[in-house]
Amino acid sequence: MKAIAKKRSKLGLVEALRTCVAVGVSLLLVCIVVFIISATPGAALFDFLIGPLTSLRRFGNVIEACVPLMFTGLSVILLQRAGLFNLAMEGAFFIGSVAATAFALTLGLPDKLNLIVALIMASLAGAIVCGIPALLKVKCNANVLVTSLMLNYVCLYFGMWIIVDFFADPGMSSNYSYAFPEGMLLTKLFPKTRINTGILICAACIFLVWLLLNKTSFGYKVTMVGKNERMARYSGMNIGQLIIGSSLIGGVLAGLGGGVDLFGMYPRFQYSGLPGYGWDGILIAIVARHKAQYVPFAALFLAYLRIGADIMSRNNDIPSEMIKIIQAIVIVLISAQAILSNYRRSIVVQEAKEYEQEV
Amino acid sequence: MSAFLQTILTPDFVFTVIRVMTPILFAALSCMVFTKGGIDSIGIEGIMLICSMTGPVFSYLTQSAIGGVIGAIVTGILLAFLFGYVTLQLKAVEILAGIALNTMASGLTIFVIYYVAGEKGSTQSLFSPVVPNIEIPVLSSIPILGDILSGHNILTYLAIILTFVLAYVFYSTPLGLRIRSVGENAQAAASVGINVMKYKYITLAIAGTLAGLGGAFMSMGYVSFFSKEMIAGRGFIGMAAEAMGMGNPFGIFLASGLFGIADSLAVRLQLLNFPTQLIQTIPYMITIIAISIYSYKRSKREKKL
Repeated sequence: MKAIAKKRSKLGLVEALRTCVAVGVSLLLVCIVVFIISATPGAALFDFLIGPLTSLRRFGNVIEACVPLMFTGLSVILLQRAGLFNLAMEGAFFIGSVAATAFALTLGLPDKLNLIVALIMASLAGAIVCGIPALLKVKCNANVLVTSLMLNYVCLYFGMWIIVDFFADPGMSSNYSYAFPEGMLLTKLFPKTRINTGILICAACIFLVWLLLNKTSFGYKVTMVGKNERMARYSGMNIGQLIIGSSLIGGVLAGLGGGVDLFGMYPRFQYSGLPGYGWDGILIAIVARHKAQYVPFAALFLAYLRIGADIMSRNNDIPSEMIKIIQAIVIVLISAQAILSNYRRSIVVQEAKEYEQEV
Repeated sequence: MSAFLQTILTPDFVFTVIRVMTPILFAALSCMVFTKGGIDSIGIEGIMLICSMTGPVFSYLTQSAIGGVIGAIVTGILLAFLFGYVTLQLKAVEILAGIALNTMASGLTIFVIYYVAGEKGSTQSLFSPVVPNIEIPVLSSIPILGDILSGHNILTYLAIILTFVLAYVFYSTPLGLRIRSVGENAQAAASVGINVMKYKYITLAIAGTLAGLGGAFMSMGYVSFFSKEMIAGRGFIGMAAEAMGMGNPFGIFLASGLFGIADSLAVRLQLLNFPTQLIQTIPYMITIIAISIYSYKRSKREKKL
């Protein structure tokens, strides 16, 4: 038993190393590109790498930017847990903010109660969105990838219709809703930053997801379905129920994220297109190696780079879109099984030998 | 209702449908090749986006439309090879590599045009020759039919011709058979002496070419410049059209046509004061429903066997 536990930790080390290599290589590439292109490479790199730490407000920006990333990261972990590539979290996040706006502006309850109801509705809306591709997979065997991609566009246009036709503020540009009542916005926690109670909701979600995946039979079963569906079916699990269940929870997280981000950061609804946090969630889930407890670190990584790139593009001649290239490289390098595969194999062989000797 | 019929029962409407379906047809044909070769096609969105950027840039550099189209095709092939290298050699998960490609594309295109055109939004400031529309002799003089079928972009005609060419290649030539066998069961194909890697890369080259043409059409035919995120999900719709057309080139042609109709209808109905955004959901809803029905029927059929 002892040997098995040791083997696990060492293989985990390989995965961690792969993550570090991916991050390191991508940062190195950025430095090279900046040195070739920029007229002021030193200043650009300083802004990019150290910039976010130079003022409280900037570091606050990093923490604020983490919140939606953590929500969609958690969402992706659950959506992919059962082995499906459901990409509806992008639409679910967006619809979450739309539903939150709609209920915030129509219910007319006392502010705090209204906020809670609006966030619950955002979660439900998200659950419905992510539940649809899962349901179609289970009932019709429809390709989740394609249906969820199409569903994201349905969400975008449907959400825009709701905002523009029912809640648009005629005094603002067409996709801006009326402002929310002041008391409905999430409370700011620190002066000079926009860090708000949303981060506490997020922390609670991270804990609950960790609990769900590691300490409940539901979490164990879903993981089993994702790792080996035949085995799960053979052992009598209700695969369809597990797939739909994990997708619904993933949708709740994405929808709630949309609502929390809305009330935490904006005075009114003002997205003009899909915000892209869902796609970012894929990177977060990969860097966090699909473990809830590592999600904050992954989100911090991406948020830090993003704020750094913003500062760099404001002061220098490098566009902030460069960050997307880093994201792509990190995704590819971490998911590339061939990298470090020899090292991984040697560890497996070595540990198998040790195990044999002990037995 | 009569106002509605009046807007769609015109040669002009059918002409628009053909124009609008062209990039989707290219995307769907590219997805078909990917799928036949057993490669996931989600990266098509990014390949098309980058190609729609390199098209006008090469057209500007060479001051010729052909130069631009060749530039887009070469970019398409190189990106497809990059995808192949990452998934086949580095063994990255295909869907993740495709998503990475899409993410990179949206950043890289803005990055490049910022340096080439000096602005982040579009390449409107560059003078880049575009692919011309052509009138077909004889056909153009026939009433109605001439209005519908003549005067399209050269790339539109190319897309239609390629549909037939691909149908021939995949179902009547050894090359097509080998690509399909590699896609369906690589180990079985290898056991009869087919070089799997070689045919995977041939698949990627063909699919990359088609995606490159689709991208080039967007920025050198549909409009005359590149603007950011201009593919706007057409690659994904191509995936859906491929699934809806059940992998058959002519089915794919019809599915792309359906998208063309839905998309053009959305534009026309806006003029009649229908809620714009709600109408824009129609093509995507139709896709989801059609794929579900088709998948349901297929899985039922497979259960019977």
